[in-house]
Amino acid sequence: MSYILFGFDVEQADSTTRQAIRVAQKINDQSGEGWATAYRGVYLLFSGSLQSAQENFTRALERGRDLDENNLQAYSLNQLGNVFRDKGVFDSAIYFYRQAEAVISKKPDPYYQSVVKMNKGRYYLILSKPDSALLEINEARKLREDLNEPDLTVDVWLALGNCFRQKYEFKEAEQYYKRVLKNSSRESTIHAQYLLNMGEVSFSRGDFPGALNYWRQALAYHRKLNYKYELAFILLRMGEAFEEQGYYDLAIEYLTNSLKISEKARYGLISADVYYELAWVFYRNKNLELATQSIHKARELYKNMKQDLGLAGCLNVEGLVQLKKGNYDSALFYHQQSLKDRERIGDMAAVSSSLYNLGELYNARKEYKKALLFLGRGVKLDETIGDDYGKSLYYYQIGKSYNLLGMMDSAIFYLDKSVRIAIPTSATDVLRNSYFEIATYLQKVGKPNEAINYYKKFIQLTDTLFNKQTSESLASYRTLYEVEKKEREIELLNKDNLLIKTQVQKQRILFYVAGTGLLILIGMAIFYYRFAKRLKKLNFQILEKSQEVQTQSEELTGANEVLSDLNQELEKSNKNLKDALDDVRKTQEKLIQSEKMASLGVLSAGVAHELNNPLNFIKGGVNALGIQIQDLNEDKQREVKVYIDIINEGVNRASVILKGLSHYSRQTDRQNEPCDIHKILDNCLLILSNTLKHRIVIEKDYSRSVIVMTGNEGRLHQAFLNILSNAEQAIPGMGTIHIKTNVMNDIVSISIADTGSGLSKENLLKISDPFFTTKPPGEGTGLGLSITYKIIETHGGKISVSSEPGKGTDFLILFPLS
Amino acid sequence: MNKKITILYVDDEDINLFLFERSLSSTYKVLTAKSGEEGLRILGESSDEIVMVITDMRMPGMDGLLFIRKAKEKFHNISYYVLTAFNFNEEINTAIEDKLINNFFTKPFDIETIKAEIGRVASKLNLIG
Repeated sequence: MSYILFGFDVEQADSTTRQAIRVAQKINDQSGEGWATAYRGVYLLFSGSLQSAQENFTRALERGRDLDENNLQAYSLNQLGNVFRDKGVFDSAIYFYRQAEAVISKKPDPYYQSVVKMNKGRYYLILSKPDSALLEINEARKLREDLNEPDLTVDVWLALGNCFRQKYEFKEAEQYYKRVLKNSSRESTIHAQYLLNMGEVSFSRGDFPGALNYWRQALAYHRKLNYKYELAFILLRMGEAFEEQGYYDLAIEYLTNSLKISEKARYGLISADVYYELAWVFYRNKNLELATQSIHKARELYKNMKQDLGLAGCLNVEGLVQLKKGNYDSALFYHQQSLKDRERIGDMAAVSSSLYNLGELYNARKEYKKALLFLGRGVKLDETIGDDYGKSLYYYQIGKSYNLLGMMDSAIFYLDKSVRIAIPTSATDVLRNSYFEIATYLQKVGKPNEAINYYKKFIQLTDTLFNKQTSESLASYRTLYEVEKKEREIELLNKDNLLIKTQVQKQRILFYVAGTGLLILIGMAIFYYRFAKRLKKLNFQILEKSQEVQTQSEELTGANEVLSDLNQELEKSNKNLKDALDDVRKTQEKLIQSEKMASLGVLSAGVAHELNNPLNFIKGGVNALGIQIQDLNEDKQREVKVYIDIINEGVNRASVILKGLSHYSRQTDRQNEPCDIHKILDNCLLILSNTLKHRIVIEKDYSRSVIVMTGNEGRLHQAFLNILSNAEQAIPGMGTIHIKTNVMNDIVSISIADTGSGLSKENLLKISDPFFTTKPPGEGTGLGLSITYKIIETHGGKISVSSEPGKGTDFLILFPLS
Repeated sequence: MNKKITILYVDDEDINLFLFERSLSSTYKVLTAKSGEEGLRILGESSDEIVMVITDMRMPGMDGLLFIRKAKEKFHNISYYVLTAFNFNEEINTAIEDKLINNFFTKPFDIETIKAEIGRVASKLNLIG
């Protein structure tokens, strides 16, 4: 009877086990009562009431001892082991398992023996000791194969799969899981376990979306059954999967949900794991304070449970936090300690993560060769494990080390390897970092254009990561939320059905049990009393659920706020990057421009020198001729003199142009040269004479006295040439440029006004900006006026511009005379 | 007119030497050299009479400023000048500031400017008047 009454549905089990106990008591079936009590304990264990479960199992154990029923004793002891396992009190757990083994060995029953072995195996799996687990489970396998009950062997295959999965032998594990899938129905607990463990395989391989997909299905199943331990565990694992992908908001959401369950039910190990994961999330989210708090909570719990691997993990995170804080020495201490512990325990993935962190730390300490030593060891481990995500991360870090070491060939070799693995594994964050590192490499080897390409890729990927994070996570969060809400509704409906079923059942039982009408009446009264009570409880539950929904939607709003904050932060860092890129571009153009100016200077100085020499021949020759003609008669002399004058005029004009050109191109930084303003203006006009000719009238309104100020003659030439050529270019057809100079109170004023097209108000404001130009692309760099402003400023001067569109522009420059 | 004043002109181009000599030989005694080395040799022979040295800047082998530097070590009473096709540059500016040369003339040269400068040097030495 007990077997029939006990169902998989926890909600149903609640009433059926209760009834089973009562019925057994009524018919005075002591053994039946003992078993029913044990089964009720199982129900309580699944639904998260560890204390009540413990009480029931203890009662069942006592009943077993009273009746000298070995199987009941063994079963109860075994379940007591499970209770303490879930509590995280592992010493007590193993004590009870051993007791169960001892009891069963007195009167060996292969089924109960196998149950104890299986539970011991599962216990070792929880403690990440796959080799010990394998021993137990293989023994259970033998026992169950002899029983020849196929349903029972499926359970063993699953456990065997888990052993191999923990040993990182995924192919072996998957073979067992496949057998589980073939031999189990879709609606069974074992199928949910299959989903959970397939998710673990995906997770170990770095396929986080795949893992989440499995876990979502497993979660839905356990939500339906309300197995609290499994719920807490799956929520924890899903939180980890979200964290790995950088969905920190979702990770926190799932982890806190897991924590709610595990703290209420006092699942010690799960609580510790949740705190440990939360520490990671906070660390990655750069909230070092919360990370430290979480790690301390986790450490305390692990310590109580004597979980060395967990403690080593805490040391590792502590090390990372210290590194972020810049405390290299304490970070090194934590990492070394963690590595030592992890190596002792022999968890390869954990060892690899410690090695990576040490590599990163030595890079930060600029001890690149040491870093490479650790990274080399770690990558070999990941290569044996077959962790692609890890490999790609390692190759990136190794590439970075070589980059820092200046070993460029090795750097690009490893970065290339990292990118090649990161793309198919969609390890976007690693890919992004690798692109950045490649850009750094290209910059170092003098390929700035290619580097810019990679910077662009880096920014693009940051954008997609950011978009992915906001849109995808919000969407998936909402879907999950909706699904869970629907599932809760279904759950409530099921409870309604259950109520009707229970009613029928109770009527039947009472019918059988009670012989008389009176008893029926009493039974009916009890039933109605209970019915009313249940109804009240149900109403209360509904209220509770709706409150839960309320708080969840509040939490959703909270998560949204966090997301929008993250959003803004990312946008800001994006903008910074774009600004940096713009700066690079501008500097490049500036360099090109100054390069042009410099080569123009060299060129014109060379040309001037080469032309001055032949001019010297002409002038010297004419001079000598002048002396020679003194012998001729006066008439002839006069005639020849005209020609000599013409030649001299030509030579002089050419020589003035060459002088002006060389003034303009002179490249010195001296600020102490005498600068004749009128001469400078005339030189500039001379250079522009070709474009001014026949089109623009120059009206000179120079002060009577010569204006000589100290400064850099070449630069002033450049400044005035820029203003004058701008004025010339602003005049579309015929026009005038009016130049007025004056000295008053030791202030030199120079006004240059054109009758050109003028500037709008907005453009007038931008006129001194580098790269501002109204000219079509390719015709002006927009650098001219910004350079002019700079030159005038370095001479202690001021420049002001007034302009009216269609009428012209007026530049006024003021200098102190000394 | 005043053949007491002797000038040494150094330039690597024959035409320049020819024209300079023709332009000034009616007034002064003009010695010419085709290189810095030759200039130093002539100075060694006639340093007593030479009051002014004018040299081109850009010459193969020893350039003008190096020639002046070497000449000045031995014959520091003479005034040194540069006559160059460069209009003005940093090198000349430094040479003036370091008092290596008194001044510079540019090509194409203006006879009157050079004559005025020779006059100034000569009057300092009381060679005129």
